[in-house]
Amino acid sequence: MQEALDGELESQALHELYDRIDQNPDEAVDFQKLKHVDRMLRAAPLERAPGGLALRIMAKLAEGLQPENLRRSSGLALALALALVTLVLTPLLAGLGWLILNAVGNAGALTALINQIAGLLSMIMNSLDALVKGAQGMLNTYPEAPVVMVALIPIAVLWLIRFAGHSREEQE
Amino acid sequence: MSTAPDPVVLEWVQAALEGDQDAFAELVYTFEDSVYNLCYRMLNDRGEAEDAAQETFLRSYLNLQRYDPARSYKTWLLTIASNHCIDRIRRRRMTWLSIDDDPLPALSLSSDEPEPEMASINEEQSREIQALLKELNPEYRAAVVLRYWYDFSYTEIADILDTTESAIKSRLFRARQILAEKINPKTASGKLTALLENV
Repeated sequence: MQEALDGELESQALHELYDRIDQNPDEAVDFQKLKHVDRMLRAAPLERAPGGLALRIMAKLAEGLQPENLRRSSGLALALALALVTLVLTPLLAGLGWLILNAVGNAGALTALINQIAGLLSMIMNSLDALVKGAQGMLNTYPEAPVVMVALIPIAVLWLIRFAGHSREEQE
Repeated sequence: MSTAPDPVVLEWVQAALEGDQDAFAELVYTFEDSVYNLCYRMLNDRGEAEDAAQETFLRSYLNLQRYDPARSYKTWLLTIASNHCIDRIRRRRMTWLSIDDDPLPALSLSSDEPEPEMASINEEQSREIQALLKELNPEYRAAVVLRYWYDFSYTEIADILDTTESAIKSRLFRARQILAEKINPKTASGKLTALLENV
């Protein structure tokens, strides 16, 4: 029956179907109902798109493409930056790895490295010591200096806050 | 229905691929009715159908490089629309929303509009048919819409819905049976009965 409705049956098979339907009232009723459905659907109108749909689609497309392009550009920039960083870091990391391996494998080199680190730390300590001594000297010469510095701290903090607020407004 | 690609459409597709948005606009103007009708018949809501039609064209634009020129552009577009509508119906079911309402009247601003009386009859017929289509699950509905509104063959519908020809035959068979039970002429409303008698 279904194939008959879709015109998919050969004429011989169609005749056989009609003969069968003629002899069977129940089947005839079923076929009639299916034909009603088929006719109704064939006669159904095509729903037209609302006016301006194409314009809205094109507007949405134009709107959607800009962020898409930006996203694509940002993605590309990020990938390039990562590639560049990797390119720069790779020889540095390789060199560092080589140094560490050599230092671990060679007691003399390891000692030299430790000595260098100790020397660097000693230099930092000496600088801090000189700084403290300088501050103590200044305190002896100007006893009011600590009070002035304490008074200047809130003023400096206030100025920093205002500067940060101004920068944010400019960015917006 | 012939699925041979139209050379003019292929030219527009090629131009759109090269970034010509006017060419894509031609594609939208040419196929907006077909896509909108499919979405409306599937979703039974004009607002949602418009959203779905927009989404279909946007997806088509973004995936244009995946379009196979050996295939009809319209068929490809309707494939996107059918899948999108089926997904929407499934999502709608998952969120327990009703699909019973069709609150918006037919408002179209196009100039080649039918006469008001004719438009009113069409609108009523359209609603009657929508009420029947609503009885079908999305897969059956898609098969019926593609068969009756677009005159696609079993093979083409199977291709669009990514299934087999026998599955399509079976869906159409079941769908017609369900609809036949629902539109017993004795219980059909006036306009629908008139439609059935006239055809």
